[in-house]
Amino acid sequence: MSTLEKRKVCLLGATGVGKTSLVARFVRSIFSDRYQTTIGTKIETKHLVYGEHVLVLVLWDLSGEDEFQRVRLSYLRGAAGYLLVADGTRRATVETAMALHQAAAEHLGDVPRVLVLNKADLRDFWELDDAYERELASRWPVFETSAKTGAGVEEAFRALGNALLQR
Amino acid sequence: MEISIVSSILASLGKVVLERQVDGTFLQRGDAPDWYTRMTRGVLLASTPIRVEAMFPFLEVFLPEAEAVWQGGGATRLDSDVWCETAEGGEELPLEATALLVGTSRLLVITRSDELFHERRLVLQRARELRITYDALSREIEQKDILVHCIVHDLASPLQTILGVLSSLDERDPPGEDGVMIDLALDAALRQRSMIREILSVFASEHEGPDAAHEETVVCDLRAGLTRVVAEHELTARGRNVRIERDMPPPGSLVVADEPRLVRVLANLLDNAVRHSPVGGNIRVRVREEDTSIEVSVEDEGPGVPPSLAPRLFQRFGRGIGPEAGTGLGLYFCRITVERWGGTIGYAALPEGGSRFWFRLRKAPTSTGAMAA
Ligand SMILES: Nc1nc2c(ncn2[C@@H]2O[C@H](COP(=O)(O)OP(=O)(O)OP(=O)(O)O)[C@@H](O)[C@H]2O)c(=O)[nH]1
Ligand SMILES: [Mg+2]
Repeated sequence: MSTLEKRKVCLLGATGVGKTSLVARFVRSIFSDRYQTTIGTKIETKHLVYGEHVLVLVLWDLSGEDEFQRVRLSYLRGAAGYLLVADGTRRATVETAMALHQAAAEHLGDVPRVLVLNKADLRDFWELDDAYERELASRWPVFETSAKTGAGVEEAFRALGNALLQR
Repeated sequence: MEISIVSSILASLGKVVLERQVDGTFLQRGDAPDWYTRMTRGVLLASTPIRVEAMFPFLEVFLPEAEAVWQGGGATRLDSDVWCETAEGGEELPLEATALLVGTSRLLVITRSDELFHERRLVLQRARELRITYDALSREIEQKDILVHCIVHDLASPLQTILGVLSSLDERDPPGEDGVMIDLALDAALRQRSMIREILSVFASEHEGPDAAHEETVVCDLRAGLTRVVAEHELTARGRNVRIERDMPPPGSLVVADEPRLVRVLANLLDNAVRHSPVGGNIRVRVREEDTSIEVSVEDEGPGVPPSLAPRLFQRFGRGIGPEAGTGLGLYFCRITVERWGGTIGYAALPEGGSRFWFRLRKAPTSTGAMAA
């Protein structure tokens, strides 16, 4: 029997880590080098097919967290899970992602989430060493992605979708 | 007639007006703006009840807040934050919603707000780009610092050999001019080594992890450090017929500082004082106890610091470049080190001529030292 389910998923992370680029790559298979910061919230949907099941992901791409603006946590309301996005070339963005996770967990409880380390195409310039990544991976489902090349993007969203269907 | 004019004005301003029904659905009132018609692909009749939150998922978080307005009794208007829909072809559609209570009508006005959106984006984007560039530049500077550090470090190894050779030549005590020349070379090589050490130790204190940034816990005895440094400098001072007078802190004057670096700070200040003292001059090292801190000052009778250099004295290369300035890092090292312990450092010209360099260190909580009268 086929099913169709709809789930809200938020993207959380510091500014400029590639949240919008990941959604654009995942939903429309495009990438742009030009930076256009997200104002407020940007919403897109994507259908994922798992055998008989169709999962409609409603992706809430929230404006990034930095000194100029805070993430509006009230927008998490109704989310079934979230993607934490960090930029591998800036270690501080991993800390921001962790802090946002703490805040999100207070609103949503223990819901499925994945940590995405983006800009894997710039691996030579990464500020994360292997030991640190192993430590992260021991606590999280971690995915290395590149919105630029597309590597790992589908996998990360699919893994989250899968976890949502399990619940 | 009038009503229809108003509704076409609203539509041409990019606004669609929806009225909330008792069952929670909405009905369109008046004309629809183009963006709305395109979004609903014209399939909706104006009279079809719609679930706005299905059409605009963003409203899922706004509607519960808007209910407070529609229930009446409080505010009669509430604005949402901007959100962005993706129209056909990936075009961005920035929207804002306003909940209104007009008489008994519960209205939801959705407005396309390109201008506000683009203005806000421009400002925020610029700020964020600058931030990212700034961070990248800081990282680059740090990497260059590390590179320079490595170079300086490598410069030191051949110097070890040079020093070794010169010392053994010197030990043979060659007669006449040869001996003088070897002494000169040895002196220069020693000076070079101490400059290299200074550069390396500045580097070390700058690059200690953030944990070391406030070393609340390190404590040392001011008296021991001071005694040692003064004794070491007495010899060079005597060579120039300069006298060093000093106050003696009482035993057990514990301050927040670590001894090896405190010694380097003191040595730096005394070096400068000796170097700038006139032949036959006096240097005074004073110790003054205050409520929560101890101040140490070094005064000389030299020419003082030119006023143009004074403000930059404790910055990197603050004394300008030249043989008198040494590496240009000595006072910089003193400042970052003293500040790391939560202390302060400063300079003042003495009214009777000469310089006064001082630093103040916090007393360690356990200090029992009371100044001897
Ligand atoms: N090389 C590389 N650049 C990327 C990648 N992902 C994003 N970028 C670039 O990083 C910049 C920021 O990307 P965005 O997707 O706008 O980042 P964001 O997280 O949505 O930023 P905010 O909306 O400001 O919070 C853009 O210039 C992108 O082109 C990637 O995987 N590799
Ligand atoms: Mg974005």
